[in-house]
Amino acid sequence: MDRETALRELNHGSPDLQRRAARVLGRWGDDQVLGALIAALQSPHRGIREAATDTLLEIGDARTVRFLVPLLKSSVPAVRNAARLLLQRLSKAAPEILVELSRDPDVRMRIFAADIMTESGDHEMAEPLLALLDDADENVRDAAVVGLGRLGASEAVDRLEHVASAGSPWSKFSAIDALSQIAAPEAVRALVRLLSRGSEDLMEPIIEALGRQGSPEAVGPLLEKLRQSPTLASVIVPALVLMPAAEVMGRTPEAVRPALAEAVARRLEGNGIAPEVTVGGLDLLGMLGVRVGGDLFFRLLASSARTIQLAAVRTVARLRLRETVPLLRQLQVQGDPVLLRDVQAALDLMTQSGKESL
Amino acid sequence: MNSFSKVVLLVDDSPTVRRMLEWALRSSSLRTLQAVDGVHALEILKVQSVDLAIVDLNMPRMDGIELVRSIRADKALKNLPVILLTTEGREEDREAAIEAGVNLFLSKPAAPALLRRKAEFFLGIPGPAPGDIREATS
Repeated sequence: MDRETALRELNHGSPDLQRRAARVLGRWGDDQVLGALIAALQSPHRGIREAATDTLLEIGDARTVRFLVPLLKSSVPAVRNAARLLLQRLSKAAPEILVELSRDPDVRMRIFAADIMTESGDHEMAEPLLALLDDADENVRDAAVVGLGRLGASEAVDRLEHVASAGSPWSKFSAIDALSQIAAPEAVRALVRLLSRGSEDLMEPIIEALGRQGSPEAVGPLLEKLRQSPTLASVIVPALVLMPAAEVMGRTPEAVRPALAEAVARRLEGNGIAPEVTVGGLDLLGMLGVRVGGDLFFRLLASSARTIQLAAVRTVARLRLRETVPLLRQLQVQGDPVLLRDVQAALDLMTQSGKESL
Repeated sequence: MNSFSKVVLLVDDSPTVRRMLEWALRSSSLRTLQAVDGVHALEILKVQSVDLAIVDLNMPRMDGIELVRSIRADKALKNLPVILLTTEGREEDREAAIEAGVNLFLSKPAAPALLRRKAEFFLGIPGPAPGDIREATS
């Protein structure tokens, strides 16, 4: 198929011919072809839109980027989204066009620019995103905050901490969330500072952000917060159990361990807990070496989730909870191959410990 | 009313916004589900009973307007209340959203307390007066 035929078929052919023409036109990629492919992105037929998308990605140069930008102003959300997704994938072809877009007088275009920079995953975009933190519009600033977090921009920590302290509730939340995604000690320290002086209504997001960071550096401040505000236990405990249990244990003063173990056990007795929190909580209880929890271990040993059952088996063994032996024997009889080895080890340990205590 | 008796579906391609909405609604003791776009939301709605959807406008694969149209065209879902939450404040978007059948068009950034009040209104949880809702749509 020659260029002229392909262009004609893309404009006037049946959907099948249009789709084929959209793919063939990648061989040329001149401005007229680009214009026709951009128009095809607005076709009601998904197959034609997809073919045009694939060809535009193949051409993928700065001219393509420039042709795509006006589509962000389309009145049809689907067209705007198609352009946004393509620009995210082509951002490296013409970063200067995105920077230009970030200075567009239209607020929506600046938000698109920030979103595209964010999804590009390109750390080079951190600098223009930092500049957008001074934008007059709050939604633009918020989009930039989100982007800096997603790109893991450690150079933005100070600015993000400031937004988390002084912005609107929405911006504060976004900044805290962004700090949780920056894998750098200074981001953890900023969150720790916010923990001690941030506004009360944002304490839960700050604690959860520290939990996601998973840094042992936060253990001490979180334990101190738990002491000051026991009502925050439902958030602090899940944050602590997402951190390595040995680190939490090592940083918890001996006198505080029973209270922490009680708080963990109470949290595990609640509803709607993520499996990783339950597993982390069980590991921590085992490390703390404090016997707690009434029926908790019986319930978790009978859990339908194997990871939780395994963690419960490990913990009852560490805590030498001999009252669970009948249930462990039952699990042994059931012969689940995933559990068998750990159950046997737990029984051996407890039987031995029983003999020792005799 | 029992805790977690109402379920809210949060549909947004930004994980930050989904976490923000989850946090904003937390004190209402609602259970939240999360979807990354319209296609994902429809998959969830097929298998989960949901009492309210809070939906973004610009999303990959299926945008908010298309999602609302699909919801309204589905016999089992057509009465589901939908709040469209977006940074796009254009009149044409608002009109398209209303035409598609959204119950409330809310512009970002919405204060968490306002968002919670609106959600509670649609869920029949006592609190806001109807006048409150008009204020957000104007």
